[in-house]
Amino acid sequence: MENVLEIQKLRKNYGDFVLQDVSFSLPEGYIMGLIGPNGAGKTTIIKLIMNLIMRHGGNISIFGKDNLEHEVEIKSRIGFVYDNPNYYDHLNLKQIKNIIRPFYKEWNEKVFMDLVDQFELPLKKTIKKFSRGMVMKAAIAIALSHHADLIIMDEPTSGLDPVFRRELLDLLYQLLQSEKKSILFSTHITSDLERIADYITFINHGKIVFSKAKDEVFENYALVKGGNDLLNEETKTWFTGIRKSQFGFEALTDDVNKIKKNFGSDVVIDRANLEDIMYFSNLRNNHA
Amino acid sequence: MLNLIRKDFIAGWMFLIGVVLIIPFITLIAMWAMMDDFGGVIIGVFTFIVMILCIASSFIFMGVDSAYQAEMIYASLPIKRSRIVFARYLSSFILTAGSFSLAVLSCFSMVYIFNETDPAFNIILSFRGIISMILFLFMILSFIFPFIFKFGIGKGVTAALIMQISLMIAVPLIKFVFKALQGILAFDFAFFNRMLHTAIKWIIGLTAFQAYVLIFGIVSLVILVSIGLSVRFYNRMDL
Repeated sequence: MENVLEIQKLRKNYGDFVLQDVSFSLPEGYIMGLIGPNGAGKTTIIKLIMNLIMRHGGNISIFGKDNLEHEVEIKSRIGFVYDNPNYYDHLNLKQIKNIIRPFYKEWNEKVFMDLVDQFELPLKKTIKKFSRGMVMKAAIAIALSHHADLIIMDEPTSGLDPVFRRELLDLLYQLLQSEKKSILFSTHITSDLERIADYITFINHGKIVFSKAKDEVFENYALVKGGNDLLNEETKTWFTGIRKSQFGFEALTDDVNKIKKNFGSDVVIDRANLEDIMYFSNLRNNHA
Repeated sequence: MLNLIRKDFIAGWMFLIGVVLIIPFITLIAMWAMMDDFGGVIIGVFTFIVMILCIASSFIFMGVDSAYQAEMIYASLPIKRSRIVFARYLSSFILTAGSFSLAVLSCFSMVYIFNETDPAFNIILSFRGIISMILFLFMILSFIFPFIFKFGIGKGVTAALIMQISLMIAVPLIKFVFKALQGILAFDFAFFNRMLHTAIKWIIGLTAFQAYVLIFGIVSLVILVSIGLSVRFYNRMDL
């Protein structure tokens, strides 16, 4: 299985925020979700991949090539949607498309028009009359119209209604089924990823917490509920973030077997979703 | 490259209409006011007004891109940043030359309609005058652009203005300091004077063709250095 994207020891220092030795890889033909709370470093990673900001260390290899040395060739094979697409709002979608189209040799007008129809986007209405959802749809239509092999999306579903979010996820899933495309998708709406992602990379405070196959994440992580009397200095270290109340504790573990072995039926073990993982990991970091 | 220039004109079309309307209007008003109040065009003031108008109009494309944060869009397209810089210079130079041509056309229409015989017009409307002005505008833009690529349009223009004003103050200041030190230090200031006079004599002695070659050479060098600096700054810029 070849990696379409490989990041090794990536570093970026903003002074008040440091991205530290980030490493992960995305195999060809899969969807990876990049999750983390606001300000965790998701957008920074995506900007570094797109060479929109300068890195202070590490390597980024896309399609097996360095993203700086082969920038033009690589970018022609990437469909990019960023979190706040600011198109000239006095222009209409047709004019925007006419500006962007000449830069892509592989631009397919039919694909673009099909997506415009599917998303019910008006071609001759100025962008300033578009809702945020429509602007995002327009950005997605543009990103998907030049046969990109890697699609990178920074928070594409934020600000979208649940119906379109589901439509978009279905569309991405179809793309993956019909063509050998790979998708890197950052979001803090974790339910979107539980639906379609194959791999999850969790970043917090500029550090990678984990980068694993989704199934592996759900196998390892679990929510544990029990009485406060079970917690002592040793048992506390078995958890990734603990929330205590007068009725007991709720905590996240990444080693379900250890918890079962030590606590047995004294605790209740539930499946943790990505939101739980993000929340409890953040608790640990904040208390660290 | 052409696509980038084309994009500037598509994205800025609304503002270009403003340029087409404002430049002839202000040029004509300025000329009419000077002729009415002073009985003729004060060439220095007129040239200054036209230059300010042309330089301001050349920032339209950068202003539009900055307002819509469009740099992010273009930097994510399959184009080298150096090409974005080069295209920005070209489109701004085209716009500056176009704005200046509009001002010149307004001037021509004034001369034609009112049958003006002011000798100032002979200088402004001569081929040599027009070319010199356009090249001078390119030089000024080349001075300002690296600041914009380093600091962004708002801070960049301010920094360039401060630098220009500082230079304007520095030249007479240095001259003053040299004069003051003439009696104290044993520098051979006459040597500098001789050098300056020799250079001036040499320039005056050039044929028209040689002078054009020299001017084009200097302007091209300034533009190339400016582009080099801008590319360097823009390549390192976090968008």
